Amino acid sequence: MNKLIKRLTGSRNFYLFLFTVLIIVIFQIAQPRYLSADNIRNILYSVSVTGILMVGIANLLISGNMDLSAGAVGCFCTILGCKLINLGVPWVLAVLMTIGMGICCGLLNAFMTYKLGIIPFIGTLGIASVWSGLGAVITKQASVTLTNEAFFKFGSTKFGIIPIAFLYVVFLCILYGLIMKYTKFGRQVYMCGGNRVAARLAGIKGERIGTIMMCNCSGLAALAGIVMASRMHLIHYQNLQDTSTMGAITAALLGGVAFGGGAGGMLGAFIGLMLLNCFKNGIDIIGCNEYVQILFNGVLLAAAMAVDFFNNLSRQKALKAKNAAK
Amino acid sequence: MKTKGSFFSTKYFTLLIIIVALLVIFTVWSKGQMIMPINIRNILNNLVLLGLIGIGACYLMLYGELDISAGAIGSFAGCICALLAMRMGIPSAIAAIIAILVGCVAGLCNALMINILKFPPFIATMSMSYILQGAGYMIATSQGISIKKLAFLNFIGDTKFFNGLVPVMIIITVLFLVVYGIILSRTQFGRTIYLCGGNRRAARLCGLNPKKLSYMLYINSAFLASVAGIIYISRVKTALPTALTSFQFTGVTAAILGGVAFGGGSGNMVGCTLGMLILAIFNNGVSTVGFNANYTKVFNGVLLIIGLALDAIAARRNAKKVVATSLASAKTGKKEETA
Repeated sequence: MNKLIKRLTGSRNFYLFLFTVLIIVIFQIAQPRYLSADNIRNILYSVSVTGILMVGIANLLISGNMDLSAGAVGCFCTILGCKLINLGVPWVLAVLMTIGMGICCGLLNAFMTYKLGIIPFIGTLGIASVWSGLGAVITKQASVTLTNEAFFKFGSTKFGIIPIAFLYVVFLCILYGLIMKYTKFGRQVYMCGGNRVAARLAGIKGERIGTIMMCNCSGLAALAGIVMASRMHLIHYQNLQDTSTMGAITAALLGGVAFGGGAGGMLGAFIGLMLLNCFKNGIDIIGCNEYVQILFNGVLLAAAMAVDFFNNLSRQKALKAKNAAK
Repeated sequence: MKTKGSFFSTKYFTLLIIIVALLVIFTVWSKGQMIMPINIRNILNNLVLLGLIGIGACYLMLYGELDISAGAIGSFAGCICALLAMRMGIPSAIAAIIAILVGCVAGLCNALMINILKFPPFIATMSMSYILQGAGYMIATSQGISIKKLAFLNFIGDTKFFNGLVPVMIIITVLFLVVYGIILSRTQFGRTIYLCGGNRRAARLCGLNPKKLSYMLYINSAFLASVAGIIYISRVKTALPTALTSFQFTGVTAAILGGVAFGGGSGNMVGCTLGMLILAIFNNGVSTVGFNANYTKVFNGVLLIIGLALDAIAARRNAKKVVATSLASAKTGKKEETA
């Protein structure tokens, strides 16, 4: 028992969890409606789309890369996917094709980064502008409405207050958590992010891992988009743009994923995601308008980066202490 | 003759050819609408904002960093100015100065986040742009604040010299471009930026202070963006919180098209100005020909990526050249030793 407590108090995720609970308690006191069944469902809904996006982006960050186009890619692929469904393509096939298109977009990002040598930060920003512009052009700035009843079940089935989309997120988090922690590939991703040169000298192909992670991120972004479309029964060209991408990055950083790569895990990222969405929903429910939320997007992003900065400091301190002890 | 020959082989010549080609193509395509006086005025109006934000972006990129909050800072400064002048009755000139100062404080916050908390510039300025956009909405709502009967703002926005051909804003912008260009190429301060951008460690070992420079450049970028914001509201007569958000990375695009290297250290104001011209003409041409704003977004993204790709290729070629020359010099050095 003592050992368990020691392990708990020693882990950052535990404090993050406590902080999340604290936020929930505060909002519950401020607005008793906060923990009603309806609102919990709302929170879980909002978690689900950002969550799928976040899984891809968090793993990409761990590998030491960056993709700011994830939201735009997700939206663009989903628009095409929804058009396919409306054309009569079976929805399972259409979903798979959407994810496939996402992966192609990821390949394009990887090509830009590794073959053309463009810094992913600014390159993917340019690409994001291309995809979101194209999305608007294709849909003529209207939303694509869906009528396929069978497809709606994919994203809008509910088990009590738990929407199925939330279960997808949980499943993905567990899956990727296991892959990253217990497989050779996962460890290689960490190593690539932690020290690229050392990874190369150890015989790890950094470009290949980067390419796989980028495709993975874009593919998951497409999945996020199609899940959202299935829940809302439509897709609009302004859905999932850079605010969603930044939201996902913020969640991952809050959860302890290192911005430069090489550290962090899916459990932390998941708690970070819950923290972010509980907070955003809380602000909404105590009656602040959407403008305040835009402001808080920025504040939270800065806060998340500050968390990352102090994480780094404490990691360095721990390393120094270890070296001194030796 | 020699100077002429060297001019034809420079990249300015290439950029000029691109500008002329774009003008010709779009003029033919739009059946002459492109070079109507009213459209040329549109281009110039756009160039004013692009120019001011572009100068700040160019300076920062020479130093090796970037600021994507410039558009948001400009919009926010516009909102503050309108708020002070219209709702609180402060004389518009003073309101404009206060708004510019507020913008500079935002720039200072960027620099603090980047230098003290070590945020990547990209994320720091992005969060700043969200914060300011939200704050701008809280001040002006999505309807904006309309501006009427303000002496100073009207002077900036409406006065035109030379039979109504040259608006005051153009003169201000050209003045800024020239002054900043001279500072960059002719003063010690300008050379400092190049040195810090090219090799920050070497610069520090030379006794320069890159950190101090970083503060100055971020504040400078915010200052120029605020000026752009105030010019914008004085022309359009409404302060909107999203007025300049489309300028998020146009400054970077302009600078990169004009040959400023992404990692910093090379490029200059002439190239940057030509890059701005290309961008302004291109954007205007695309809309004159009849594409809507969404296409402009697509083309801007493509242009940015093309610019970045060319920049990356040039950087690689340069690196190869450096390696080759150093290898060659090492060889000759050895020969001398053996001799």
